[in-house]
Amino acid sequence: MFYYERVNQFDTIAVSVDSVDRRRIKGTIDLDGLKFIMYFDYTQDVDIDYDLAGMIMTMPVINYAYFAKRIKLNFPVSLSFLKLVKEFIRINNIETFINSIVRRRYEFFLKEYLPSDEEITQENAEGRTEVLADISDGDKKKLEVDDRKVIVLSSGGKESLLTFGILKEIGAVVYPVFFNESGAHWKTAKVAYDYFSSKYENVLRVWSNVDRFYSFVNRHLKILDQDEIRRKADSYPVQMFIFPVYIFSVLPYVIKYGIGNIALGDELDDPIYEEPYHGIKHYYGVYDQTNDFNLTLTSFLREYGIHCKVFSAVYPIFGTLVEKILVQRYNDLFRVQRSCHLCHYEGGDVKPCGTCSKCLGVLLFMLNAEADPTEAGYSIEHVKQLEDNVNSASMRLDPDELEYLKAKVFEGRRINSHIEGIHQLPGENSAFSLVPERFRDGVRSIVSKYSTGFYKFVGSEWVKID
Amino acid sequence: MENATILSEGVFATTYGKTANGLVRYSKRYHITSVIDSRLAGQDAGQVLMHKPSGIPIISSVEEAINGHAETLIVGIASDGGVLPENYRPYIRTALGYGMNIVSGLHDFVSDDPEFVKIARRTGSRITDVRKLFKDKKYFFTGNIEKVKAKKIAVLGTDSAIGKRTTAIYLNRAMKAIGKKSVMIGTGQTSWMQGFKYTVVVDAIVNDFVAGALETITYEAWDSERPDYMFIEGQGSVLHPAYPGSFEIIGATRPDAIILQHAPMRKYFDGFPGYEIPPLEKYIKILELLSNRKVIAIALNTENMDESMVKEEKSRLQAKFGIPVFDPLQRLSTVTREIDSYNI
Repeated sequence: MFYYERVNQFDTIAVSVDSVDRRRIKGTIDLDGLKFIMYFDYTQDVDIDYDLAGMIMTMPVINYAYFAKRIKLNFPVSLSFLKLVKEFIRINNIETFINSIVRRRYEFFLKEYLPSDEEITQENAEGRTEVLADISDGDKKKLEVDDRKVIVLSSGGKESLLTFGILKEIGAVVYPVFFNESGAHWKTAKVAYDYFSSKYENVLRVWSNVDRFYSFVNRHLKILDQDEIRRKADSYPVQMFIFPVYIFSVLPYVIKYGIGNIALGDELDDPIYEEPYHGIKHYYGVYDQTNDFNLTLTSFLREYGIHCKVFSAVYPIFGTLVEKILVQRYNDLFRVQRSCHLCHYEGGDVKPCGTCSKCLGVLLFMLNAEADPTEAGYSIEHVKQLEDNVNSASMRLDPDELEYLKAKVFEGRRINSHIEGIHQLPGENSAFSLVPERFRDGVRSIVSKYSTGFYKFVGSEWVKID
Repeated sequence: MENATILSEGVFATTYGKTANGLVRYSKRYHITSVIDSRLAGQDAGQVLMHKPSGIPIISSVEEAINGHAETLIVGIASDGGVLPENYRPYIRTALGYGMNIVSGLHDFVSDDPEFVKIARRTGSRITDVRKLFKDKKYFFTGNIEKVKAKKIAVLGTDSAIGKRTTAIYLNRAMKAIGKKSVMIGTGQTSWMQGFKYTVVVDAIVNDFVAGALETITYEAWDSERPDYMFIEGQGSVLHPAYPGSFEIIGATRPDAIILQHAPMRKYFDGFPGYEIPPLEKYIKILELLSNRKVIAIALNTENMDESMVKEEKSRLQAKFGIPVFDPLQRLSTVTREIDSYNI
């Protein structure tokens, strides 16, 4: 028996669209009879057809494809969408197997459902999820877009804030879109959302109960330790395919306003760490925050008839430099930054927990940027305890970046200048080549003012270039 | 070596895709990371072309090529007249937009197209039109060819796009494998893209200088390498109505022997259905008369033939002409040893 058969939980996960209104789409996700009603609500009237609604509803389901024999799409799909879903499932299955199960950070999975060493194979990683759907041969969309317009998917974190700041400054018509999940996550984004709503135009929001869907499914996965998943942690038990839900859900706004770009806040994926695990290529659980994903989606959207580019304006730089620019150039935006997923209300304000691995990283970034973390909701105590906490925590930063920050913040030494540099990735002829042409020079010009220069990946290390 | 994707939309593994086909088979100048042809997306390029996996995926977009770390896009079509097809323009636009370099061997120069030039200026992309590299070069025939002591074997054909270059490459490799020093003399844009050092793109050069170019490159190869053998890539076909070739190659490089590439199932010249390909014996007579040298072997292009047909045709031609007949895509050690044993 294959490992993926051993952890199979569902015969069929079926996705149906129940209704499509001007401001709401409603669908049912049926997991062998367990039904979840999913909603996506829009703060403005939008024009959504059934196939787009179905596409939006499909994305969250991909998170659980590894544990299902088949995904059934009860709405007609184009061949290109079917191909995309199959590829997403193949990749996400590997991510689930390698990064949720094998290289897990928490013991969410019951021990008896963990694979043996011999079971760590490409075949087991990919699983065998079938996708069933009727192919439609409907007309391709022909959407005229304006390439000056850009949606910035805004989470309240430093990357999306900086992206907003830079794009706005260089003259883009920016639409910050906030994804309002029904649960605690919204607290993280709300500070920025409130600030943006009071100060800027074009601020948009999508509300959804998709996070409840994740909790619902997780509660029904017999392979998970139900006590463990209730504990507060900074990793999800299973779900690693989060951003596609956000991106597909904003497409109605893309269509409404003819928006030519969607910017995400993916920071640098250092190729130094692109090592296969047991010979299996994977993305460390963040495929949906990579250039590979953005380019795949751009290609799909063009095929779908929407010439909208999905990109990140900060992909060649580490979080260290992102924070530095945010603090030093867009200080008002820095003050509304909340990166913690465990935020809480305190005296009417949203405060980060200050001790999760995400917060510890952010505090290092802020101190390195010579910012006052209390301006972004942290306490003096958080700063005082930082060194002890960092030394005892399992940090999520790239080892190079962590070493750099520890030396700089705790010892005042600079040990590796490429961390604050701009990185030209393998395959690129110049840095920022994946940023749409219209914005490229502007982004490069602002970022380079704060960086230590340009670096190219030669052999297996970063080498400074002119 | 630059990572490159080959744009071959709609034509990969056909005669119009011969540039792409050649680069998938062999490339030293570029590291080929993918082939763009949406008809065949998801398959392995080597499997489609040679029934042998190459690890080169066929994809459908520039973005997928970038995902495979391609930094250069090679236009991999050999269209009639070297014209850039209209449906290739969006791919080039997109690639330039991402700052990718472009390499093209077409007569339509990408670097002369105002739209492409404008984007390239903005993004810093480099455009290489291979034929442009040779366009203004002037070479003069000097007679230096007589000093070349290597055995020069020209691989000529009964049609264009019939596999002359591939046969020359494979024979050159097989000759090296039996311990002989051998050099490939490229005469077309694909050979240049494949990275053969001694290459001139003859159909980009003003006619007066073609013979000089062929002599110059052959002599240079001799002077620098002192090889035992040279395999000279033929161009067009001596009786082709649109792409007559071989005259300059025979005249200027003075081959010591000729290998003739022939596709038994091809009845009409490629792309010219009104023009029947004359019989093989006519070619042999003409080429031997022109060169005053022998056609020493026939290389078979086995398109549209199954194994038994190939076997039968080999025996028939061998019996008829009394020279080796071989499939250049199969093992070449026997035929290579045979060629080496000839006193040419």
